[in-house]
Amino acid sequence: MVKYIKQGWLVLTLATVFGAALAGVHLGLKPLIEANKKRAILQRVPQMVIGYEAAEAAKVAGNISVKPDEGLVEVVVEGESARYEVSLPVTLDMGSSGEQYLVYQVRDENSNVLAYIARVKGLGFADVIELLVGFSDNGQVIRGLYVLDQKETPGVGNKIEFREFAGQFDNLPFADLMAENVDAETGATSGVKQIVKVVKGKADLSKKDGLIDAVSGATVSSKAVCDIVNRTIVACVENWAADKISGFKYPSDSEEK
Amino acid sequence: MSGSDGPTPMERFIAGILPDNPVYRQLLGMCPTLAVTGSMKAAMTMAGACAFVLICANILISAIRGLLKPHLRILVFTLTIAAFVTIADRILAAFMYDMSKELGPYIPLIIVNCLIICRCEVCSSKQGITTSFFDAVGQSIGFAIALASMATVREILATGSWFGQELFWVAGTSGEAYRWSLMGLPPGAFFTLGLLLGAANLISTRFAKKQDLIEG
Repeated sequence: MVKYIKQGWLVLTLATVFGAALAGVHLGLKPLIEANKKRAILQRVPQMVIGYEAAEAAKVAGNISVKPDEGLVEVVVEGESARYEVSLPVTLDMGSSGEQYLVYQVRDENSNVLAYIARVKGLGFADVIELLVGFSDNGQVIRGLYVLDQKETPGVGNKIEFREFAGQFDNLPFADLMAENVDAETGATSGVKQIVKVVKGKADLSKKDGLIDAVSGATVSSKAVCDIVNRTIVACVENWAADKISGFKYPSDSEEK
Repeated sequence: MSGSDGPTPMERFIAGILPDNPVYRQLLGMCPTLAVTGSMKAAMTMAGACAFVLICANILISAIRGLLKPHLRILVFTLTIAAFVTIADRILAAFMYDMSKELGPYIPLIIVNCLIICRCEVCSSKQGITTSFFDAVGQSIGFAIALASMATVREILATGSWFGQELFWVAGTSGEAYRWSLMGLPPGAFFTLGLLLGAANLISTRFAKKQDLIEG
């Protein structure tokens, strides 16, 4: 034992020092990184409310401005200005797994609820994938999907961020798909509700039937995204039924008080 | 594993820029050279991150070179490089979030960039801190020059812009006639690297012949 410590003391010491240094860096920079992610979430709000094409056109024209501290997003589309307010997140349980996820509510200037955005994570092929899943105000349609963070294989799995894959989730009604429990490829009964299902080249993109064309060569990454979306839908439906998706607080509410 | 013999700091510095350029002479760091040189901004961000990791790793390895055991040195190198890469990754996520997302997994992949572990093995584990520092700076400048040359060719040909700014012959037009989209894709990266490598070899050969003629 002493022989091994004499051999490896430098490695052990460096590992301890580097571990402490990395913990310090992580603690110090975490608020900044979270603020950046909050900004990224706000910039995706127009996509979940007015649709991807209109949002991208506004973004390219420089017509989207965000104020992260106030939770405000201002968009100009075809000369008309709209302002959306994003709530502070509510933390909810994802079923009985012990995992938790965040939900934001989006409302307009007249306090009409426009959309909900769930910020969820799940294991991908290489590392954790973090997604934003937008829901309609009635909670029955997926408005859109945005990959907030991923470290999948470059040129293969990272294509889950591209429109060809993520766009398949736009305006996807799932209320009629909730009974599905069977894997579309293998026919096996799945433990996770297969509301959206990955298929290889068989999806009819004109139909919103829950069949999602996998990224070629990245079935694992594609299935990971669908699993995350399925778990999110199930959790949201359960939480809506239990009236847990409520009580949203807005930054402007505390200012008024 | 310490020693005071070997090239001087200035020799290390100058060698890293062109004579021992990490990309065009040593053929190291090919992965980021091909992957992130679609635009100058991404290329220069990668060059900056590599420079940070290379300089920090070289200094630290040189400082502890007397304590390194031969059969554990690679482990120590990798541990050191991984720590600094993680710090660089977090700094980018905090201060350059959009670029961090654009570069994606290529920042963590700096850990396996052969350039950095090569300098640890060749220089910093054998020479003092000053020499190691200048070696790291020279190699970093050389790497940045290589990435900049690749990115300049690819971005101008693929998008008609440089550093995201449209060039004068494209501005005011739809730009379609000036864009060769293949250059933004992996085949374009290989073509560009091959041609620039050939050019670097040609220049190097002619320079060597001239040196031989001068020295008689």
